[in-house]
Amino acid sequence: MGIMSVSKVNHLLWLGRYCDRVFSTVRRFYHNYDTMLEADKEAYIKFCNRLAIPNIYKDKDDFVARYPFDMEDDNSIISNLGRAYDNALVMRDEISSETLSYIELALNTMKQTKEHEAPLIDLQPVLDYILAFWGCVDDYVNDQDTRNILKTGKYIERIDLYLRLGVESSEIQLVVRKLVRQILRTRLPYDEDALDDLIIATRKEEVDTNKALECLDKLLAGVM
Amino acid sequence: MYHLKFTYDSQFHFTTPIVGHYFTVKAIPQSTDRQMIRNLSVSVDDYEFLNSGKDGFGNLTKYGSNSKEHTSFGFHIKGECELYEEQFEAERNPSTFLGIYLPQTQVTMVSNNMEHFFKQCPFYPTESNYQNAFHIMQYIYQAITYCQNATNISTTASEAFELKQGVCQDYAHLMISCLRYFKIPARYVVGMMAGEGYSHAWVEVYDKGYWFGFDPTNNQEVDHQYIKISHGRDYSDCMVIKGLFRGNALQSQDIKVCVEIEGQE
Amino acid sequence: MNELRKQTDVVNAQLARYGVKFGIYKNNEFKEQLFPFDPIPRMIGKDEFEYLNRGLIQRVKALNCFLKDIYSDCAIVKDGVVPEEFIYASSGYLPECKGICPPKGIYSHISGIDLVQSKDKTWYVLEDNLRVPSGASYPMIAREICRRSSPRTFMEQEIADNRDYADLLKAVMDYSNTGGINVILTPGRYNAAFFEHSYLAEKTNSVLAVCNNLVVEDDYLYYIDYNNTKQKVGAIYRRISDEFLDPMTFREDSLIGIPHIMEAYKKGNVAIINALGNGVADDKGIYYFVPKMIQYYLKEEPILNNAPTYLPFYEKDMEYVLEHFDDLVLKDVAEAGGYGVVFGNSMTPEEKEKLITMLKNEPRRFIAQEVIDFIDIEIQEGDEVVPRKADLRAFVLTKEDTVVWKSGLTRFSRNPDSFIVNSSQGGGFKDTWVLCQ
Repeated sequence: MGIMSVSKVNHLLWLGRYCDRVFSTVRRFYHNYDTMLEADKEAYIKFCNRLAIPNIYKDKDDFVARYPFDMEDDNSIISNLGRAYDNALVMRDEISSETLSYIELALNTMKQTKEHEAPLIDLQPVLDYILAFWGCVDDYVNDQDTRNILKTGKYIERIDLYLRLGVESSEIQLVVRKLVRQILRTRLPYDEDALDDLIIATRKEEVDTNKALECLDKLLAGVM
Repeated sequence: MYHLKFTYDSQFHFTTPIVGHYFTVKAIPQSTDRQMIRNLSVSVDDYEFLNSGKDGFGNLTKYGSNSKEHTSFGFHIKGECELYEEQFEAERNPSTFLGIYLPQTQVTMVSNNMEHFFKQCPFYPTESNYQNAFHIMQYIYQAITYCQNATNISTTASEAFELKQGVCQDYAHLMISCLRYFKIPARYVVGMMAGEGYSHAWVEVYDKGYWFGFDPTNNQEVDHQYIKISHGRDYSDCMVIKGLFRGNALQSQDIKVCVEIEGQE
Repeated sequence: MNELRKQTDVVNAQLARYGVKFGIYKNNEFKEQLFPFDPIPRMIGKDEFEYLNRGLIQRVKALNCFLKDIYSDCAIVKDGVVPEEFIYASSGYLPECKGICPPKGIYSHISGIDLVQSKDKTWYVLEDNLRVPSGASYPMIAREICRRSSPRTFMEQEIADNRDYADLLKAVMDYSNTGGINVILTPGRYNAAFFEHSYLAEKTNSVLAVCNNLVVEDDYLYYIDYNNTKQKVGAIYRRISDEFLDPMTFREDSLIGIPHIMEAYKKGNVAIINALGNGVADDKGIYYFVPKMIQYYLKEEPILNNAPTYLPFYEKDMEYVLEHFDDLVLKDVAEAGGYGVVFGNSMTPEEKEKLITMLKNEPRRFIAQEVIDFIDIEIQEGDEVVPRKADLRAFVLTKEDTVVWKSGLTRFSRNPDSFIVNSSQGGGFKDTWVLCQ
């Protein structure tokens, strides 16, 4: 098993989280953008509310330009990708240059996008690179602890987003099961009660969102 | 021969708990040609690890750390000292260790004003270093007045020279600066002096295989009232305590140094 | 090779992909820049490399002997070969290291020797870097990418593979290791050479650490694992300078150091790579004495030339310097990174007068050198090939034996009139090919 400091574990967890935040929000954005084309021009406001990000956008077009690509906007997709990059860069020795290169590519691609005529096409390579990143994690990251911690981060983020976006309980349960499998394989000092409570809160048809979010916060409070 | 008794107590208080504390104490006198230390006791409060060492100049250290929360730290050194009649120390490696006491350091660097002043100093190339050191001591003694609050621990010789005020540290730096200006090897000494409440600093001057102590603050040669602790190129080599910790605490320090002359044989 | 030239954009895109960057501070803001790569390699023939190899090994062996001597008996000073002023006034000399014998007696494990070639093809050593020489990672990764981008180039020509640098470095760490893991200590991601630190950690399978991950307890150095177990560190390749390494011994205000690492080092419980106190041997003033060191310690004649150098400290040299001021380059021994270097012929009369006064007041502070007419080396600019000045940093590694890496970092100046090749001043780099034939 690899030798890793607390700060490295923290970087891995957040790398996993931010990668998934970008990935999942891009996919959500796809769905949302499509709706906004003709039907609901204000769908983005709901989107912001759901994700608890301030609606700082003038209108639909402003949202489409800024939410993905504006580096000045703290909640934008590119800002989150930048955070993924910050966490990945300091982990080169653990995750390998090959794995890191896909985050670098995703960020460089986004930075180079100037026109936003067809944002869905512009964002496609970002999804591809992130999928390639996860592929590399399986193939190039030899230390299983590193892999499991990264994926723990990924599933925590995904549950968090699904809860906020009100995704169906069956889908949430699926991710919770994945999270449990990952976390048990790590040596992470997780809060056992919080994990039990999370399973209970998401088991029902009607998910107890607040309780579940609270459990997620507690789960790895020591290292995250 | 003189018999002295000494204690050096230092106590730190932190306003809130600190962690990750590292320290190096350099306040332990050792036996030399001029002083014999007996019944030495060194104790440190609130530590997790504690070791003894020696720095690059041969000074004794006690160093250690404490990762756990604590709000105080202290060290206590006491012992007896016998001082011989001869007040000098032999340099055992003059050819390998003397050279480091010749170049000026950041702290003793000679400014233009200082150079102007040093040029007027009574210095006689035909006289020995020992004799010249007397002239230089006298000259420096008159250049500044003793003042407690004008300078601080990071004041350089040239800053003290401009202020014309300072404490023992500043007197010593200025004298060292002048000695080195005349190519006389000189080193900074920290020690204790009879009747003082704090540690003291003076100068040692090299002459023909021996180091002689001079106290420019009191304009006198070092005698049976002085117990030496450490020496180095300047103040920064002889810091009595170096410390580092994590926490948002303010620290306060109490120092109590006491030297009593017990008797003479 | 023409084929490789055509691949310039591909190669640079790949370098960007792998984040081959260096950081600089501009107006107090940290910026990462790509390190501009030029595809035309510097080629060194087999025989020429053989010559450099012998000369570099000889030089580094002598420098290691010198460091060992300076921190123990100082025989070279006692015997009057090097004046003591040059040792003790050097900011790189650390009295704190007196009497410490580093594990296996090695001081400079990784030496970066900067060379230039003059128009008559003579090689000259310009500078020794024995503290934390950087730059090996760049040709290493550039080679990897060039091989991918233009495989045919490498089929047609037999070039010594330079990707073994990581193995060499690992062997160096393993040899000095006192029992425990290998760690690379970086000041952090906002350091100019962070790419190199992280890349070398990956390739040598070392743990990349910042100061908070390491602690000294009872004179041993440990890496703290996330579940609070402590791993003993046997060798630390530190990429921070001496004065910041141990706040309890050197600068108390250092936030990137490890308190009491000096104590572990004194006891021989950890190998510090490179050793502390090496700065005294790569001091510009000491440079003058390196050929004398080779004669003194190895009883050999120096194979590599120093650039013709004068020490104003010696009266005879001072006379020469004042007489030939306009033909010489003057270097302030206290400065590094291409700063503090002035050409006698490029100064205004006022500047010249000021410098001569400084020279007379502090003769030890300066060295003067004949200006070497560097050979130009080709670089690609757009579609054109233009001549530019370049140097070569050779990497010499010391374990049981001393070996020269069969490559090196060739840095060139972008500016046609400049001799200064430092990346901090806008230069680029090339791969260095050592040919097998």
